[in-house]
Amino acid sequence: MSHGADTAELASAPSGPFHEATAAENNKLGIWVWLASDCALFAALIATYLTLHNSVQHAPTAAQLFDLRLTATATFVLLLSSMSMGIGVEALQRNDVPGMRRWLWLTVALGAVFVGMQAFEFTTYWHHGLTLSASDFGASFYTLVGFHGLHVSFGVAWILSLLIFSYRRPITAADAWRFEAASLYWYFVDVVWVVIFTVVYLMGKVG
Amino acid sequence: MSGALKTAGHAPAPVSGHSGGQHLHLVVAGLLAVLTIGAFGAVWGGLLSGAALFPVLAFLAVAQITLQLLFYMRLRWDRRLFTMLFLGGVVLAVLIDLATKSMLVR
Repeated sequence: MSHGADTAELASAPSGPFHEATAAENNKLGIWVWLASDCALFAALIATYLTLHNSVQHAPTAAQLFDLRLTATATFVLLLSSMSMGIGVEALQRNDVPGMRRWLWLTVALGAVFVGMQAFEFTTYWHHGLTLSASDFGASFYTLVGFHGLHVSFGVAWILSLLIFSYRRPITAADAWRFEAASLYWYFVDVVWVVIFTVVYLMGKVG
Repeated sequence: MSGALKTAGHAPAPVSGHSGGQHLHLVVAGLLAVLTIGAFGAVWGGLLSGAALFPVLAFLAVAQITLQLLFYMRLRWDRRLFTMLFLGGVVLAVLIDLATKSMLVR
C-alpha cells in the first residue's frame, strides 16, 4: 500500500464527538473486563491464603504479629485517596484542570504513604521472624498483600503519568476517559483492600 | 497534536454521565469511615466475639464494597453491562474460594 493510500485511509477514519464517545465506551468496557478478571486473580490468592494461614510451623502467627492500629490507619489513608481521586475526576468534568491536578497530587501522595506503610509493616514482620520461607502462612501473606501493594504502586505510577501528561498538553475530550479509567482502577484497588483488611487482618487477629 | 489543539478550548468530555457531585463523594467517604471504624472497633475493642463476629465483619465489608461500587465506581449510573461484568468476576471469585475450600475438606 502506497504512502498516499495510507494518508487517504487516515483522513477518512471516523472522528468527531460520536466516535470519541463510542471509543470511550469501548475503552471503559475493556477496563471493566480487566477488573473482573483481576477479581478472579485476587480470589485465587485469597483462597490460597485461607488454605494456608493456619500452617505457621515455628514462625509467628497472625494474631501475634498484626498491629491493627497501623493497618487501620493505612485503610483510612487508602479510603481518603479514593475520595480525593473522585473529587479530582469531578473537577475534570467541570474543566477545572488546576483543581483536578491538586486532588490527583493528593491521591498520589496518599497512595505513596500507603505503600510506605506496607513496606514498614513488611520490614517489621520480617524482623520478627515472618520471612517468605518461614511458613506457609508467611508465603501466602506476603504474596497476597504484596500483590495488592504492587497494584497500588502501579496505580500511583499511572496517576503520576496522567498528571505529567496534563502539564505537557491540553486535556481533550478524547483524553478524558484515561482519567476515568485510572479512577476505576484506583477504586478497585480500594475495594480489594476492604476484603484483605477484613479477611487477612481483622479475622487473622481474632484467629 | 492538531487534534489536541482543535478541541483545547472546549471543556473535556464528561468522563461519565453522572457522578453524584463532590458532596456525594464526601458523604460516601464519611460512611466508609464509619463502617471501617465499626469493623476495627468490633475486633480491637472486643465489642463482639465468637460466632457473632464473622457475620458482622462480613456485613460491614459487603456494605463498604457496595458503596464503593455504586457511588465511586459509578455503577449506579453507568451501563448495566459493566455491573454484570463485574458481578461475573465476583461470582467467579467466590467459586474459586469455594472450590479451594471443598478441596481442603477432602
